[in-house]
Amino acid sequence: MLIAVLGVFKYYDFFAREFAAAFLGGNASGLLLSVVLPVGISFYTFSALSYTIDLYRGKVAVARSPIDVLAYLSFFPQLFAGPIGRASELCPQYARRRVFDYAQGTDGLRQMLWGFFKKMVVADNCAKAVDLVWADYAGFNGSTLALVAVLYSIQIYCDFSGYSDMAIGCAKLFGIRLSPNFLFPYFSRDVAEFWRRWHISLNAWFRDYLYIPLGGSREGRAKTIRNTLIIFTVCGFWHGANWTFIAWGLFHGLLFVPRLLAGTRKKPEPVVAENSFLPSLRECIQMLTTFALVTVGWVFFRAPTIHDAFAFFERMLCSGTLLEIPGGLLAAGVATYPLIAFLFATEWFSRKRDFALSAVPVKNTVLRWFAYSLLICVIVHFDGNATQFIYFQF
Amino acid sequence: MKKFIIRALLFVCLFVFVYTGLIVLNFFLVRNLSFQIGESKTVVVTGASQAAAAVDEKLIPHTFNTALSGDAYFNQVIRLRYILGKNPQVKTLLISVTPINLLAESGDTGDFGLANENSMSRDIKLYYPLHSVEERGLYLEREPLLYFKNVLIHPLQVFNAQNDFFLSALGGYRSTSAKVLDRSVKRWNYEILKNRGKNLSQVRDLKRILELAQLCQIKPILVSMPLYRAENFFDMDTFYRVLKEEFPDVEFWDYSNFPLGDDCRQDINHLNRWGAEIFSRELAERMKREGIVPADS
Repeated sequence: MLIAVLGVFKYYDFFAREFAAAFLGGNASGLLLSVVLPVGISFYTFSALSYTIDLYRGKVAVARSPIDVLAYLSFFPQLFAGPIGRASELCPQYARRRVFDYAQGTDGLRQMLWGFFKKMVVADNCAKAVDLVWADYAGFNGSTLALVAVLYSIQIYCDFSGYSDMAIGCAKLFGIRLSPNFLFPYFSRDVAEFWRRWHISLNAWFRDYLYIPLGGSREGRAKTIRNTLIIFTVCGFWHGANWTFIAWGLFHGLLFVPRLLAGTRKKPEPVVAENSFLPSLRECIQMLTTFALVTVGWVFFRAPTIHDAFAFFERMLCSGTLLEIPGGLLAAGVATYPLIAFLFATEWFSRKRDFALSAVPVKNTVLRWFAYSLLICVIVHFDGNATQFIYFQF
Repeated sequence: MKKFIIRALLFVCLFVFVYTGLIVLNFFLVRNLSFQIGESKTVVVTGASQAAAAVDEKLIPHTFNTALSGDAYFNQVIRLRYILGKNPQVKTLLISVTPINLLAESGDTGDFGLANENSMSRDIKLYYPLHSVEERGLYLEREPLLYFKNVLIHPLQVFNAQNDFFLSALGGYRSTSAKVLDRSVKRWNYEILKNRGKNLSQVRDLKRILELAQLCQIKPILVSMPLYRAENFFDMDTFYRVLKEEFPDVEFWDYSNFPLGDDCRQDINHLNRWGAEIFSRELAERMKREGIVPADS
């Protein structure tokens, strides 16, 4: 029932258009519903499914009050773009009496502040250059397109993880602990690690409710590859009814295939450079390679159509202009680049924690507050053109 | 909870103190900038993007270009008030005039000339410490919310003040290799460009620049920048009529139809770096001939 609602609102028009393209000469006008997609439908549908499945599996007790279930489904910080709530984790929290916790409250405010910085300063300023170039990518040289691909990787990370930080921080003020959704994914050394750090709540959902029921990795190599490709394709399709999202999901699934074929499954490694200040050369190369692969995937994610994605790559790589000076370099604003450097430097120092500002290394309260004040000034001053959260469309 | 509320209130107090302090600091820092352009500079160029793209001051001795893309004469008055006031060695002011600057579709473009909301936001952010009482009053009368918003949302302007004023707001030559003449020919709406009236606020502020020059005992010269097929694309008759009616006694150097190849143009009203080099050398020669700069310089 829940999936049917999601299917009608989100996917019906897509299938109708594809059907019309295949059998009716492309004329889908009589078939389309053209209904407005309710904000966050993918997120709360999955939360509702989680409650139903966990209840069936006996992982969560039947809620004694409908208010608890409704609070779980409609908790406003996570309603629009996650993190996707797990009934087994959240329902008990709504049921018990909560008392304001000073440490948790201040931690929440710090996390919200960092989320605002990521969204309003970094993501929105990157968006200026990204939107400008994607509007007419054929008119820009290869190096500009490469730069914009990188900027989009940064934009989508800051946009989505910024929202998650705000949601998690806000929930802490209400005494609710949501599980982390991002753990510095661009410091990952391979794609598997990236997916353990990126959109954690969605990946855990697919792992527990789809991958493992399909057999997971226990039924031989071929089925493991099949299951992995299914998971990533469905994950892509979950993002939107467009072939670009399916291609993005499939691309990530394919990145796992060599690893699965080689049988090099290894235990999750701890955080990069766990016992040292800087990463080794090997780790640097691994992180850059992972970032580059993920960035290729984001081009599919950002492109309006599959054709545009390939045309973007063709223009970037085959026009002979990849080594020219990027033309759109300043479109994001001169200050954006040092601010991106500040973001990643701060996150690097905090990579063993839940979020970047979770432990500010300043003991003096006034100095620490002064630093927070300056960060708010940075947010107000460098605030880019306000853009909608990317994940609101899902 | 009580501890949280008390500490939150204390933090808000500290934040307001820091925030206000930064804005006040910016105000005083900009007010006290030197605006010195160098002892040897006796000629100042002012204008908008046409002059910024066309006048390469490195090729013209003793000249300082303050032209800034998108700047209305309203802002140029503000900058010139400080630049001319603090550089008594300046003897000549070259003022860029083109149909784009002096004419407008409806004629009346409001009090701030070429400014739209975007450029006005930039202008207020940069110039608010330098506004005279009248200029501030004009903003507060017409755009009070925009004015306060742009003063208040740039608390870190203080860290940009030197950079903005000496690399940006003081203007200067902007070299470009762009050649998009074909695209601009297709993009412009010639019907609008050909049917224009006098831009009242631009004319008003250009007169203020001339009054300022007179006050500083500086000779003003109006210079029309090179245009692509001026008679075809612009309302030159109205342009010349406005100049004749409003500025009959001011010396006028007309380069509207200065001969340049298509390769020398960025678009229909801007030169690229090849065009700027040819035009700047011509301007330098003329200034030497007219005795504005020494002939041996």
